[in-house]
Amino acid sequence: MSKILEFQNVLYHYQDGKSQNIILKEASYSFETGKIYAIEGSSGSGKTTTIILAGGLDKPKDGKVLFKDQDLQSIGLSKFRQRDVSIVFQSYNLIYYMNALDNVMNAIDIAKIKVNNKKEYCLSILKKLGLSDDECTRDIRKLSGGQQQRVAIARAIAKDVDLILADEPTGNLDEKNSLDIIHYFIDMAHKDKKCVILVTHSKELADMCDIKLQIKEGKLMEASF
Amino acid sequence: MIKNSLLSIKKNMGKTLLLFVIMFIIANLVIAGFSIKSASSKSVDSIKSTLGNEVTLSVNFKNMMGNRQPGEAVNDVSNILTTDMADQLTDLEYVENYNYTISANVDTSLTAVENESNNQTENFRNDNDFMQNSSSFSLQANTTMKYLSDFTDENYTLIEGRLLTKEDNGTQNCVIETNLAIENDLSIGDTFTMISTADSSISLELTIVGIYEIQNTSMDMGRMISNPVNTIYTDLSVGQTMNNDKTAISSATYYLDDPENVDAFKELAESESDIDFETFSLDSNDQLFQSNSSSLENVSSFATLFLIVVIVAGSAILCLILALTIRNRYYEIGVFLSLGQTKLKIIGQQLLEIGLIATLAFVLSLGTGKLTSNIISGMLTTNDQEMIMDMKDMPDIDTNENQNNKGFGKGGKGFDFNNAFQSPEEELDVSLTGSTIIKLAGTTILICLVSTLIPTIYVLRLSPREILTRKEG
Repeated sequence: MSKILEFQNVLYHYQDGKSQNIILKEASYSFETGKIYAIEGSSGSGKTTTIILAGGLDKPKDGKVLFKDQDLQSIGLSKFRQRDVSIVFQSYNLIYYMNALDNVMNAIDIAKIKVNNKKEYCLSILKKLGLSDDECTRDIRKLSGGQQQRVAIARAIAKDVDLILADEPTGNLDEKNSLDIIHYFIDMAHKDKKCVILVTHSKELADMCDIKLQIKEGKLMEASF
Repeated sequence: MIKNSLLSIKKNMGKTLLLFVIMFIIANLVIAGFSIKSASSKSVDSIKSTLGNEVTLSVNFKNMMGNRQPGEAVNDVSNILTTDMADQLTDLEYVENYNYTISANVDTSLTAVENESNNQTENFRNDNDFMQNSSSFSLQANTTMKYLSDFTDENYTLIEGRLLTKEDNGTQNCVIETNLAIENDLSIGDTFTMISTADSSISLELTIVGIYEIQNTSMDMGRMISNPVNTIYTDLSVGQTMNNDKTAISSATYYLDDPENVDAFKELAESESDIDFETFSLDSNDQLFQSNSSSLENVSSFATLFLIVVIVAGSAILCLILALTIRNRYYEIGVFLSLGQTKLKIIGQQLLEIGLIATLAFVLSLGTGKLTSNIISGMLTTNDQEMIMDMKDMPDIDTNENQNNKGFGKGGKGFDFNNAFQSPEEELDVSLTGSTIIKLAGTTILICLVSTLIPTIYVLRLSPREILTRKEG
């Protein structure tokens, strides 16, 4: 187990009219490889903000986010997103004019990952997540919410990075599929020694993770099982 | 990036078609603007080279008539233009070539050709006593025939032999019209006798060295007096012999290097020579050049304005459409950014998409651009022609030069307004040139850059979180 991601006294707030809405304040926490984390909390508690900062989609107002002991800003947020992290969004964030296969292959192209037979590699991931050949090449808008979610997960997996972030990854899946996906993430953490951070409302899914985190008064802290 | 662009174009067919139609219209209008601008510039150059670079020195009949005392005969106050006077201007700056002309009526040993308008001519003569003794033959004696407008404009074409040049100075060579040659069974090398109407004891035996054919002629006053078929072209010395005056000429025409130098030449002539410009005048075609070139410059200015409007309005419309569709692209740009795509590549993809559509519109507009150009230039020149027709109806347009030259026949160029106003700009040559295509390509790239960069940069200034939050919001 090694430290991969670290929040150091992170401050983050939104400007809400004239008032400042503080989300994270002096938040510090270290994430390790080989573990799966679940961030719990009520709406607006800062779960998604934690994913956004961990994924380099924005920078903290104060403090640092370190990846492998290197400040994200010194790595370059765009470069970090390109090669070091995969993010699964609550609303999938798929490119609507590409089919499932193209969405996954596009992510690999952007990450500049070299694989033999890129198409076969991407198809195998999509199939492992339960999509058929036809669904892989179908217009993405004609797939169900659950299928789109699985494409988004496949896209994240295909990048083969050490840090995977997921914001409500099973929100649109039925119970069976949700469990399948969670097991998939658990295997990635335990077998492939990746660090997986999930945001979830589901206590059941959170209980399956190695570590549960809560955000209280702007601080990240471990919750007891 | 190319694959993504093609996928985006294919999936957004409605937007693609809309952009294509707008780009196609813009490209056509840009082609029309550049073509008309280029054509009007070419026409101005053409007018410069063919229309307005001549200045003719001749007796100022208008002043002469004005200065005449009541009851005084015209001849009493007339002055004679001499070669000594005309020679003073030949070496002035701007003069590239010159031609002296003597126009006179002569008798010959030949049988004159009569044409269908003869009765009309006879009636005209009966009504004008001073013309009743006119001969059927007219003499056109020149220093050289090289610059005579009837030949340079191909109203007359040489069909056999050669025209007279400065090398024929002092010879009795002549050039006659083909119908006159047929009527008298003459050919190159044959001779005939020319007799002066002023003094019948003066005669010369002329040798035919060239035969020309009349293709077009207009019925101006000079040409109604004698059938143009019966005009005989000789060297200047023959005219001087016929007039029994070794120095007098009817007019001297100077061919300048550039019509824009006409005024400078006139000023120079007044300062450098001792010619009395109250008695003699230097007339030019520059009013024709001015009227034609200024109307063409108007066309050119319009084309420039037209281009600016098309480019600005086209860019604005494209910007608006792209800005309206940017809501979809907000999402897409945010996703690309979250995946780690560089901003440069995102801009590149947007540019490539619009560039591919623009290229198709550009290529197709090369086929239709000439048609658009012709329609617009046709509308412009129709308006212009109407303006010129109005000018032709104005009595003031009948200048000194016209009055002078009508009296002398075909001594100079420019009096024939029918020909002159069938000007080179009657139909603009709006053909597509390489330069126009390059300009169109440049303009298309400019429009694509402006219309793509503005909305894209507007989005890219935001962080991926802000973009994705907005989309979700």
